[in-house]
Amino acid sequence: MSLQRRSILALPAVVAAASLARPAAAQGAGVLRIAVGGSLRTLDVTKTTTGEEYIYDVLVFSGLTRIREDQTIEPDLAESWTYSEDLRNWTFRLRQGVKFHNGREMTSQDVVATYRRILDPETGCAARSNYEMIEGMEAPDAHTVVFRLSYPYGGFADILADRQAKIVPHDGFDALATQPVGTGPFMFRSYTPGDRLVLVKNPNYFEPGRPKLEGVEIRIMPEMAVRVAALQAGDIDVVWDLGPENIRALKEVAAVRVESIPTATWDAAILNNAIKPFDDARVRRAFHMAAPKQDVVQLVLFGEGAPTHSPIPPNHPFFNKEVPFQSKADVAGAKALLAQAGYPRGIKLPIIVPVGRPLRDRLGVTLQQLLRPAGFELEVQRVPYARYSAEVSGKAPLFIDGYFARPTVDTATYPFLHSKGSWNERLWHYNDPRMDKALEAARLTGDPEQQKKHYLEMQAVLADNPVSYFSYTMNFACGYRGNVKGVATHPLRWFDLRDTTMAA
Amino acid sequence: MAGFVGRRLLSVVAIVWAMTVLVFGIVHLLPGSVAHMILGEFATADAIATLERRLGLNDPLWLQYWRWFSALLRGDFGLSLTMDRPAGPLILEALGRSAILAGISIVLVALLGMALGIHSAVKRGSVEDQVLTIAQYVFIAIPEFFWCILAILLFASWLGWLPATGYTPMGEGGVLRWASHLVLPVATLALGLTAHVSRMVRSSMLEALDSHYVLAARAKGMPERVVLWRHALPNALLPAITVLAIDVGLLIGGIVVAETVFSYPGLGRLLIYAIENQDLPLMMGGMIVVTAAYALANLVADLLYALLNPRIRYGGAA
Amino acid sequence: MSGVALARPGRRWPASLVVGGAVVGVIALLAILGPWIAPYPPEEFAVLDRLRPPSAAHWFGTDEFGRDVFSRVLAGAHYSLLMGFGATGLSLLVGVPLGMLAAFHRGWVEEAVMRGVDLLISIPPVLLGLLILATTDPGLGKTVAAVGLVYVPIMTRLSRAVALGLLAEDFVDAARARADGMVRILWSEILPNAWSPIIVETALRITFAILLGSALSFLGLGPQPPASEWGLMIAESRPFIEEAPWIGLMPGLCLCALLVAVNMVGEGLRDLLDPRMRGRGHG
Repeated sequence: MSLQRRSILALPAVVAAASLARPAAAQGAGVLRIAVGGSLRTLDVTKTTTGEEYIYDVLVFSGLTRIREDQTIEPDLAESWTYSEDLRNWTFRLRQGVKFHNGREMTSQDVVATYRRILDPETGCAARSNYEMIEGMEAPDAHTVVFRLSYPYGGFADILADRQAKIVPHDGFDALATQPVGTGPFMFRSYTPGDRLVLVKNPNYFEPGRPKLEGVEIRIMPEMAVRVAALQAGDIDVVWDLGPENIRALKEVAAVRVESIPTATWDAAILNNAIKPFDDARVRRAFHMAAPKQDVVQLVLFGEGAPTHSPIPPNHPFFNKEVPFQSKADVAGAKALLAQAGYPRGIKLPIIVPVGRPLRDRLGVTLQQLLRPAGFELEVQRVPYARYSAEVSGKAPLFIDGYFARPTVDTATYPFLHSKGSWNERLWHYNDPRMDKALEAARLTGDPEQQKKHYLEMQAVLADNPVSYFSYTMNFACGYRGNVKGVATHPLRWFDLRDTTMAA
Repeated sequence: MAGFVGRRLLSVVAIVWAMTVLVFGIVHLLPGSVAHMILGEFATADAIATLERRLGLNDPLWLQYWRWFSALLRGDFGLSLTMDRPAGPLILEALGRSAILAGISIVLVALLGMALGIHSAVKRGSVEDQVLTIAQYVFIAIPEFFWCILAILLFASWLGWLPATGYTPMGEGGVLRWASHLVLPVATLALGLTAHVSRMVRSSMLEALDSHYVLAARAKGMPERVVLWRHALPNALLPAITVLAIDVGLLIGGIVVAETVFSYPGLGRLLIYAIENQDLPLMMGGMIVVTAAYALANLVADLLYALLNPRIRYGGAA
Repeated sequence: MSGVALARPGRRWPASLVVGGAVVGVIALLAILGPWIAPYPPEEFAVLDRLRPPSAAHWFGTDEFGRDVFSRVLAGAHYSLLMGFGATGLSLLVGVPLGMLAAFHRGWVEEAVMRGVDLLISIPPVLLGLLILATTDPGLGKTVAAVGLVYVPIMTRLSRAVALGLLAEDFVDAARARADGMVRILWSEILPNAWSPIIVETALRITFAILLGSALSFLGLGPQPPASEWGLMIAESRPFIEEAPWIGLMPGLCLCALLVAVNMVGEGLRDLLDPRMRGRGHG
């Protein structure tokens, strides 16, 4: 008694009020609180575009297939599937008795309607171009769906696991943004923009005994230092996407577990191949010679990532280990190349970085500093991401950008590097026939050994004729309270919480 | 009086309206497009064109403005372009939470500022007064964003725990839990402004204490308490009210920062979100509300000033 | 306000003006000499020495790139000074002539000017700054312009009020009788007599201009990296606040010192030039 009294009296009123609140925060045992940095914009799964939204997508909805933490594909709403010899007809058998959160049974009609909606340009689905090969769909019975493709595509079952391709009820499109209904392990309860998204357990989830949690709260906390402090204080249970600078400090905290895993998410300095000065391959090579990627990884990521040649990460079997990295800056070599290309006195140009992304900011400043001795005078300009597509992407000569991991090697490379790829024109305007040949060949073969050969070739082409400065693929790290069990950090940056529990 | 209030209210409406035109114009000068923002990194040219057509972004400016404005007259703030949900409820909810923050802060600032200011003035020249004066100088000069950094540093690294961030409605976790979320943002908002107000009150109080009517009251042998409360204080309050009205403007700036740092889901953050994402209906609605609140605060200050004016109070008596 | 205010005996320089002026002077001097006295180049990386606490070699420690924080603070001093003095200067240049014009030409000119002023003044300063800067690429010049624009209406109102008072004086009538033009009357009759309150107001305004400028920089709308503007330095230090608090604390403390000093100068000037205004509000 006396001790308690003293402790309250000794502290200012501010502290007393706050500490009284803490037991209340711990009451919701069985509710996992995940802290993220940005607000979710839309709850319409088909229209989601940000990492924060993807966490929600996977918890509330299910796709036909799903990607596990080890990047293998397993059935989700589809029980099994078969494909024709020519890889153009894919037949999916759906699970029986799966119910939407509103109680109605999910059938092939919903699947067809979902994909129609994704393919309809009016919808504005971000992932539409990934499914451009779908020519037609049929639902022969309530639990069978057939996709007809316009060209052979071996990875079709894989791309159906992607974030936006979640099955939604065909009769409930209008309510998706406000009262979303899916078939996933958790159900939507409420959303306060800027504050939190509250999900509760789906008692009728189609996998019996799952999920084990009572609910999930996604808390939006813009300031990283606050997220980290709240994790240490036990105010939240998981911090999603730790910065590389936080990992070292948090690893020393006993109550917290930090997991940092390599991913295929990459950042790059985008060099526009269509306009001066990077229309000359020698200038692009000089850029690479002056900035050793290993140094960049240390400076920007504190070592929490790895240098790469292309969107294929170094831990992938298709990564080309034969292609060397520049180990030390070759200033003289870079200057000589610049002089050959007609820039004996160096090059002066702006480097555009997006506002509010500390890592890309740091990448910009790092490159500016590393490249200066070789004759590149870069001036950092920060532009809001809202203006990127209109002013920067595909137009500016040099800017920092980056992309999330894609479910397959094909979707991670072909759209970006093929001269007709959907991304190519919006980033760098690359055109090398050797590249096109390798990518097309890899897409058309179902044999992994053959694919590997083509992708190794693709990386060799990039070394000879660099498209842009792929700086690194970066690690993805999350911090967990010690009592959170049964969750693995997912390389695609979302959480599979079906088996997660929280010890008291 | 009623006529004065009516005219001022009318001018508030006029200002808010002019502001909508101004913001509308500025936003359409922006080179970016909300269609890019909505479609995100995957947007293709034809998808953007389709969306722009659907949102009516290609119509002439006056038509777009009229569409928005006529809906507003019907009480409809429109649909948030990026969130796909009505902007009105979003804004009103956020406004409510920010108003709590601002209201508590301003009351705290007024009470603390006056108490400290009066205390200093009465104890003029004492050690307490000198300490307070120096503290005022320092606290006025510390920017809110630096306060926030200091607060995080204090709690996160040195104390090892953190008062609650974010927000819980009063109905969900009780009053104490609700209040705990306000501790950090209110503290950061109130510190600098309290210094500002107390400094103001101190000097006007000093002036009042030296004025002829206070001297006269003392000469008549009135007790010091009465002199202080009945004669000096009302005069010293006037400038304090003006300063408080000005501080509402500073408070709005501070709220933007404090809400972001302490994850408080208020109007300041909503506005920043709207500006960053070029979500026009959200931005317009938010700006209308903030401008109106600011203008009304100034109006209230003017009215209070008129009510408390010493020429009215002392005009006949002296 | 009413009654007898204490007039200061003589024209002694107030202590706050002397102390504040000295501090501002020192900071200004350091800002000018910065490039020569900085121990390290402010943008130079030193990977092996990053996130080092303050020491004899690095007085303010080093940041995430191993850059010397002291050298960066020195190199960044001129930004805050430019934003404070530049923006208020700008608001003077635009606001005073506008106010005088409005005072001289009663009628529609005054109406137009003053309604514009009402509009601008009713938008909270940070939001106005945000709106202006959201439409353009950020940079030092634009931050100065945005902050300056925020304070134009205040200057306009003040100089109009002062000029209205002066225009009723006899010497103006005399000038009018001589058929002097508007510019001449405003320039040689009104302006010399209006300076005192305008200077006082300007001096008090500088603190807030620095505050607003650094807040906008903090939000990423000021000078761009690798510039070491103090508000920007504080913003960039946030990810490292636990591991290396000095990166943000040092520029923050310098910013506070500058603000205290500028504020002291303002209040000292007010005491010197306009003793009756002692303690009046600013904001």
